[in-house]
Amino acid sequence: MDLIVVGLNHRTASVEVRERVAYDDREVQGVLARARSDEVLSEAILLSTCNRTEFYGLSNDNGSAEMYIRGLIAATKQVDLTAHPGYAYTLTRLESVRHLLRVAAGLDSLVLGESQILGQVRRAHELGVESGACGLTLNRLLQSAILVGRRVRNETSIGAGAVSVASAAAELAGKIFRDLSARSVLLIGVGEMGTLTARHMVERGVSKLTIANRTFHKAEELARELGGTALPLDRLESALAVADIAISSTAATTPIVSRKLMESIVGKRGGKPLVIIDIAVPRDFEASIGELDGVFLHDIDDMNLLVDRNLVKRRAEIPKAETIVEQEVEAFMAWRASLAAAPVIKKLRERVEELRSHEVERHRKRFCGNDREQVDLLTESLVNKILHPVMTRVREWGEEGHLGALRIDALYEAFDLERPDRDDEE
Amino acid sequence: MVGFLNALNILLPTLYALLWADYALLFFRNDPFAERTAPLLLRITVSFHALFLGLWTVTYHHFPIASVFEANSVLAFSVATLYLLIETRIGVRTTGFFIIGIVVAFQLVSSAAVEPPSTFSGLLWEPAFMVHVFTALLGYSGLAVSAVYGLLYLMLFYDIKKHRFGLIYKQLPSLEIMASFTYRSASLGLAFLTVAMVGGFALLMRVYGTYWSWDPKLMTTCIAWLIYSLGLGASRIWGWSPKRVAFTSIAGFTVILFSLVIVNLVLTRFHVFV
Repeated sequence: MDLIVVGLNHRTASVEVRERVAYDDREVQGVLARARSDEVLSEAILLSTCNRTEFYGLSNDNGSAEMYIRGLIAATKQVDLTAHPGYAYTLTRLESVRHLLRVAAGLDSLVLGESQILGQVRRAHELGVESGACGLTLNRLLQSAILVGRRVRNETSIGAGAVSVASAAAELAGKIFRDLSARSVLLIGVGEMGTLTARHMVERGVSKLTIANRTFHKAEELARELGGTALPLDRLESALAVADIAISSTAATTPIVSRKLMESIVGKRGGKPLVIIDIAVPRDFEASIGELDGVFLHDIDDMNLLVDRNLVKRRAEIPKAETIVEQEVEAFMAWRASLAAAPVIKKLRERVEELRSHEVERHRKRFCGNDREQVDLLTESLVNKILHPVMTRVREWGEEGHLGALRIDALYEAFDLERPDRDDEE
Repeated sequence: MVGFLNALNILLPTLYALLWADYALLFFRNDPFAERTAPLLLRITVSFHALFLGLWTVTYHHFPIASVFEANSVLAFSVATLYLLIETRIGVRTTGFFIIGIVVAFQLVSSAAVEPPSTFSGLLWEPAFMVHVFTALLGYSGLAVSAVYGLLYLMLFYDIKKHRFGLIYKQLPSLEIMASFTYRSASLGLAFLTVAMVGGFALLMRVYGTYWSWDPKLMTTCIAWLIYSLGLGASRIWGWSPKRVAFTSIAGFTVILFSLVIVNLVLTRFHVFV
């Protein structure tokens, strides 16, 4: 039985293609149930996120398995991957294991080290178990993937630091305020980047959002969408006097807030700090405003600097994360190999036990009462002592690849043991 | 028992130095091993320190406050204990490097020269005197911690203002958290210092028949008390910014340090009990 993954991701397929082959939870369960009943794959898991759709399977014949998975995607999503060979990739055995573990570690993500993927891997595991398509091997593989995801996030800093302008702005505000949920945000202008930043702040749980814009109805529309309050731009001064965080991204060609105006606003704030994220180009706030006490003024260059530094730090953590992935790949492969030794150990023990009990039974009449019990104990102990080193060696052979397989084969021959069928091995 | 105490006297600065190294690894390299071991080592070290102070009291029949060197150990213990409480409260370990740094300094000074005095003043067993000295030491601890958080506050404040996003920016908790601990530690320290000063004036009256003496330690402590009272009062009444409170805390602790080091060793007339 071999592992296989057939999938596509943000590197191989455009968002138009990815969104066509994305599966929601209900669809995943349906597809897994179908895969189970079709019996081409003995086990299956489907990982579907906005950046990837990947089928993991276990089968006797990888060629058939690949064709089956591609056919399943074509049947359920009407996307013929064979017509666009560049979209999809197929990995088998060790490479498929390594791939899933790298995915769970965030090493294969669009944003390096992002943590959402770990939850998605966990969800794929749950759906696989619920649908009954996830068996012994994929269950163990998914557990290894989740373990890698956790280890990488705990033992490295690959997920640390903001890597988008919106999250960098939230990170900066978080360096000034203990808890963003108790803070109010003022969005000035409804530019794309500013809106994205405000949306991120709302997701971080800010208590109040006010949107000030020259075109009032646009402010109203966005306020409805984000759950805030709209304000005409001429009331900016009073809004700045009470806000904790101001995000500005208007299309104005000259600064809309002068130092003089800000000095009067600071006077009304009673010493409360104000964080201004001015991501407009040209800037909306005069640069010298940053010199005022209690005002932390940062522009788009600061945000880009923060993002770049964090990305460099994340990239520096890749070798550590790859080491963890390799450790767990090795552990998983060793576990897989050890499975080959399990049937022969079981058969050998059964054979020796059969001989022991037969011989004890044959001579039972020669012993009385207590002695019979003692003979049982003695022979059982003898058998265990003889078998123990053999079992240890057999387990080691199970992890030795081809040579180990030959040795195990010789053991079947030597003791004339019945060979298990392939399903038993799994 | 004396041999065990001597061993503990060597062990304590060693443990604190190891702890400091652990916090340094955590601050500079985000070391996961240090992240796991530092809180445990902190608890172990503080426990050993408590044992040391208890055994010293039993063995030498006085609380370890008879000399500057003994008092330094009590000071190190109370700063470490206060930090342990703060770390447990906020769950941030990256400030440990700075706080434990001063604990190492206090304990090294103590361990290097501490010796049980052959004779000491009977005052050391007086409850009023013990309250006076212990509250003074607890006050100093609070003020020391406040000064460190005040300094860290200012470092982060200016880094953010000047758009420097380096190690300080990355590792320290928010300005609001540090402002809160600067203020709270200073308030706690000031409260203990106030009790110590009231007790001190009462003792002065009993021993010398006057409420005032031009003793340099007394004067510097009064100056520090005034600085802290002004800073904390202004923050509460006039809404002084955390930045001003941080400057006040650092200024106040500079006076306290002067009082602890220069005045204690060189100038004092009556703050000696051996």
